[in-house]
Amino acid sequence: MTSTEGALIGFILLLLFLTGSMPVGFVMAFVGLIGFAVMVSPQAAFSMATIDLYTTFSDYSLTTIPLFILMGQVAFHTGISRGLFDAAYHWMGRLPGGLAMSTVGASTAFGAICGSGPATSATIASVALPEMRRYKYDLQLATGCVAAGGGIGMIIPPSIVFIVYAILTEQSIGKLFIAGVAPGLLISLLFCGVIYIQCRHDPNLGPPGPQFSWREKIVALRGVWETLVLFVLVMGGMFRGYFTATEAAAIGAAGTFAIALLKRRLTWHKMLQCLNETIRTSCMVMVIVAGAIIFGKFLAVTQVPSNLASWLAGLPLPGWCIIGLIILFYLIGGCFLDALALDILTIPILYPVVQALGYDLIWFGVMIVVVTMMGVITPPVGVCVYVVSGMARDVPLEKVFRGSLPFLWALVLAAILLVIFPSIATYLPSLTR
Amino acid sequence: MSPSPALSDGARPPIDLYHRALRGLVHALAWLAGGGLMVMMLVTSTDVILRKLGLSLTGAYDIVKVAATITVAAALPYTTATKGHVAIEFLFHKLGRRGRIVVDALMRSAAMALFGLLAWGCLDYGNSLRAKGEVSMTLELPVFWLPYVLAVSCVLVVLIKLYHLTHPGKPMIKP
Repeated sequence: MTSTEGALIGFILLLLFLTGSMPVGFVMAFVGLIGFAVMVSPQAAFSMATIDLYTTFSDYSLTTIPLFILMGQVAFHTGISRGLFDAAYHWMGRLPGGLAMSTVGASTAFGAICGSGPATSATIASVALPEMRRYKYDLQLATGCVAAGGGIGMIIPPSIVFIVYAILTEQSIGKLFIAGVAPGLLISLLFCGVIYIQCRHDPNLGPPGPQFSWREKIVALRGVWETLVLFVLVMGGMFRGYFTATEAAAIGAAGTFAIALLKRRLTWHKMLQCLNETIRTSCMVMVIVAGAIIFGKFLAVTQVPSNLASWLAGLPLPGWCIIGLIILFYLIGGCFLDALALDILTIPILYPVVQALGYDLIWFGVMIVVVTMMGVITPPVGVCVYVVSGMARDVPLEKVFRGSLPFLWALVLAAILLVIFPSIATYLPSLTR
Repeated sequence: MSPSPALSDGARPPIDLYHRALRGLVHALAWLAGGGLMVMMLVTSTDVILRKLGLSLTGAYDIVKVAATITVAAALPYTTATKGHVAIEFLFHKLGRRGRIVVDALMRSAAMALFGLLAWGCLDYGNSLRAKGEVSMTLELPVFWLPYVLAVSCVLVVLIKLYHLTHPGKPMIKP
């Protein structure tokens, strides 16, 4: 069997097992183990898989993942999100679709302390949806903006996707984090633009809320201080060189615990919920990472990634066209596969292509996150849509997907802008050492 | 936690006891994982603060690495028991009942084989670390036992998958 045939059979097996509902991480490890055993030797495959599993679980740099997840979970369970929404609501609620814009604003702010899209959606949905219902917002718009807004949590640092990407491509976590800030804010503005256009076209979709005095607006800003303190502490400390990304994650988690304790919002039950959710989510991510590493070892012996990179780089097509095809691949793939799993599976194969084409890997990381944000709101596996649908049980799933569609176009526009003006993502990291 | 109908109807105390023991072990490991997570957070934060004060926590790196391994390894059975792993299920649900049972049995058997092998491999790896006298970088703590913890978790995953195989559609533990 040639190495290309081996890789092809491996991919077919991978798809078969994935569609058979075997967990993604297990599938990658299983197929990688069998493939390596066939291509090299059963004994080598056996020890490779064991050592890769163990070294992934004990990798110091990967400890960033559970710690940032813990930070987000504590923020979620202790109600930090309510203050953010209230502040945004006082400032933007008066506009047509203002509550939906406040939802996007609160998602952006919550993204600064939570690196997960679904967690951001769940958190903001719990405070924003009741308010939007109260003001008779169209539920398609309301649920759609909460689902899409959750994705902003994936690009505003800290971001789990950025951490995984950084580890897989050996890029700086800090630079990727700072690269996500401007595109994240741009996407927030585009989302607000989408809401504004929809509500101008049909004012019944998002009737304006009450007018607040300047005093009330200023007072409402008090709800932002916890998030601001945590963001400055974590990101500031990292960029000033006081601590590494892993240490920043630990400081962020400890800081969130401290704030929750100070505000008497942390009960024993809530703490157990935070730990429970954190270990589950972290283990799920780590198993996928370990599986992808094992599968990647199998692909490496087939030399398919390097051959594919050379072939794609040698195509008589302009670089932007190949990048466009890669983005299209992620957009379609993200519809059928969990977005993070798709990233972990394909980044090791595709980043050498991007590198060979001369594109900046930090910029590509941002592009990956933007297409991942598309993946979490596209059917049939848009995880943020499922989260929101689970929290608004009277709204049909199709309605939430339809509500997310205008935001998908905003994300496509953001991706196009990032291709035309890559400095949106690369300017801020270029200022850091 | 209520017993599954299959167990309560069948009146098979040894199996019931076995399932309770299995659940107990999974919960115990989940507690261990939670503890490991807190240790990671507290040790790293303390190290950063002490460093700012011109002091240092010797071996913080070693402790965090050990705690991280324990956290993820010990969380593995709990995540599996609560069906916390990401899987693509929309095509699977389009199959007929018989098709789902067959595919499900095949997938779970494959997962059991994988984790059975990994458990064996971890045991082997732990033995090799023990034979070499492998220790951590700063504190020089023996590390051979960490693959053993992972091996125990892998064995539990096999047993949980067996439970899922015999109790289709039910999580062993509700999250």
